[in-house]
Amino acid sequence: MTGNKEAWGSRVGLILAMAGNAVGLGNFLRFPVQAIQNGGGAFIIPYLVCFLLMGIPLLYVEWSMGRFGGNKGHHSTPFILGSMDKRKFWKYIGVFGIFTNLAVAAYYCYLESWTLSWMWHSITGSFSGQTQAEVASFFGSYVSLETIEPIIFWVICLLLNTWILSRGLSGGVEKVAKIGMPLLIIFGAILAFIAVTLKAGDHGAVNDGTVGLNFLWTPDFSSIWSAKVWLAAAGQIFFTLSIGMGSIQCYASYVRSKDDIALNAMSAGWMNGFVEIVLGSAIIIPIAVGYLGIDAVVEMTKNGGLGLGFKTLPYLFDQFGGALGVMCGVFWFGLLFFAGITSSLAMGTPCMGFLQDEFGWKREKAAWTFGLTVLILGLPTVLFFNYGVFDEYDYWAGTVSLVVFALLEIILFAWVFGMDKGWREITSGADIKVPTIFKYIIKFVTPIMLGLVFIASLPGIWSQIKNEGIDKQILAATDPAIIEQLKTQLLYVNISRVGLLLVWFAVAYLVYIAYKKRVKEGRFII
Amino acid sequence: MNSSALIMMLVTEIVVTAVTIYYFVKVLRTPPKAEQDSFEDNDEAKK
Repeated sequence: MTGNKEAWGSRVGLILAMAGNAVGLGNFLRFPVQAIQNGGGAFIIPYLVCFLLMGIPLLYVEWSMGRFGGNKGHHSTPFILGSMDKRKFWKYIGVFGIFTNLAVAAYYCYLESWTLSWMWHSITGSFSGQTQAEVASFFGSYVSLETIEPIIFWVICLLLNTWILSRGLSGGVEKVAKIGMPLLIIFGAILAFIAVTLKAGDHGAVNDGTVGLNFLWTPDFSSIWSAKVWLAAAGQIFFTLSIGMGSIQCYASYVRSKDDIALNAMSAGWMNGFVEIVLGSAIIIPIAVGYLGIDAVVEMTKNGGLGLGFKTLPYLFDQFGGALGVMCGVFWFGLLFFAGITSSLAMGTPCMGFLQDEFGWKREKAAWTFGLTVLILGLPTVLFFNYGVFDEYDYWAGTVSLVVFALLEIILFAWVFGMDKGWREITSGADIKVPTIFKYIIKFVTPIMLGLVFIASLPGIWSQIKNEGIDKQILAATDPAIIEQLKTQLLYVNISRVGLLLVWFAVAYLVYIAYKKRVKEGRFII
Repeated sequence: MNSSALIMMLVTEIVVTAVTIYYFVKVLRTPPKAEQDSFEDNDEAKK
């Protein structure tokens, strides 16, 4: 019998937890950078089109798959997928829904721990009086583990996540979401107000905050004819909504068959959109452009928004001076922390659900096992960050796995399970009328779009497998020490890749054992 | 800000905010189902 007696405390709690799952650091660090690199204000057109044709349909599909499986006693994707078709291989496709969460949590918790550490340093005034180069070098020293501090914050972060998970859905995850999401929105709104009202000359700013907004929102309509821009928009929608991970199915598996999922899915999905578009666009770029100018920001964001968020913003907040500077630092890293923890908690629940369902484990045992596994898997990303291990995890688990799983699950839902049954699942108990057009979008448009995203990413996957990026750097390098370091990086990257593959097979083996156990005990799957 | 950027920003943000509020208010205003539902708080309230 399953030892899983979890339940949500309230509907608002479920929606905030689901929105918290979607809202992550990418809402504040990735979206604005994607926008300025892909047509400015015009980026919002492909972004919203992809949201309507890919994001919303996948939200409906994942919520309804989760509720369907949950009502059969399954709370993780292997057996949720397994319950939708009699062919046995679907439960192994569902392995992605556990593997991805484990592997992403392994590096994401380290990223999350940076926000705790930067918040601490903002309070203690570590960035006070430092130059921009000194703040940037602080980041370099931090990830190079020049002190033990990164390990301490990482372990604290892991313990915190594990402890909250051990308190259960309503007693832990939901409570954090109910506190974290409103605080995140309040912090974001205050920072956005400060950023937008920044005036040239105030606290050393060279531009008004609105110059950054103008830069971000000025539409380049010619960009919407570019395939690259559409792929960037599809990618952003994909990653911002946490679809293709298995965590939405897990959260929704605790919803009963007669309860709504359609309105819940829309409320959580649009809440994520609000945080990303309204708050995410109004903080980092206006402040950075206000102090550094457009050209410098364009240059700094070429490698993404992470550097801007951790290497530059603490220096800029310090320019505000005094209590305002400290407050902005605490609010910024506080909101990133809440964005992070509500997502990492969602990564723990599918793994716990699997252990509780299949092996009858108690919640606490399942939570601490998850925490220990993430500690072991995450250690290489902490110790060998500078050797590309963190990025390798992010690429395979946080990018490729999501696309593969989403593509396969929508084929299962729309074409194997059947769209008529699927539509009944989506609309059953719905508190809103779901437009019928989504029945056809889910069946035809979304799978085609996902297929295109997957096909478009194949050359990149092949290039990654062949390590072309590092090989090119080795060929271009002349310094023997750099060549040696790149060769070491190549070794670590290959080892971490094999490690991830082993994790996938280990989860698949556990699913196999669980299946055999079910057969032996006569427990039904479908 | 130039007018095209301003229009783009305002239209997008107003639409996204309005839809977000609309759905969230709808959630808040929808009464819980009479029978036992998925949420512990509602079940306790019915007792």
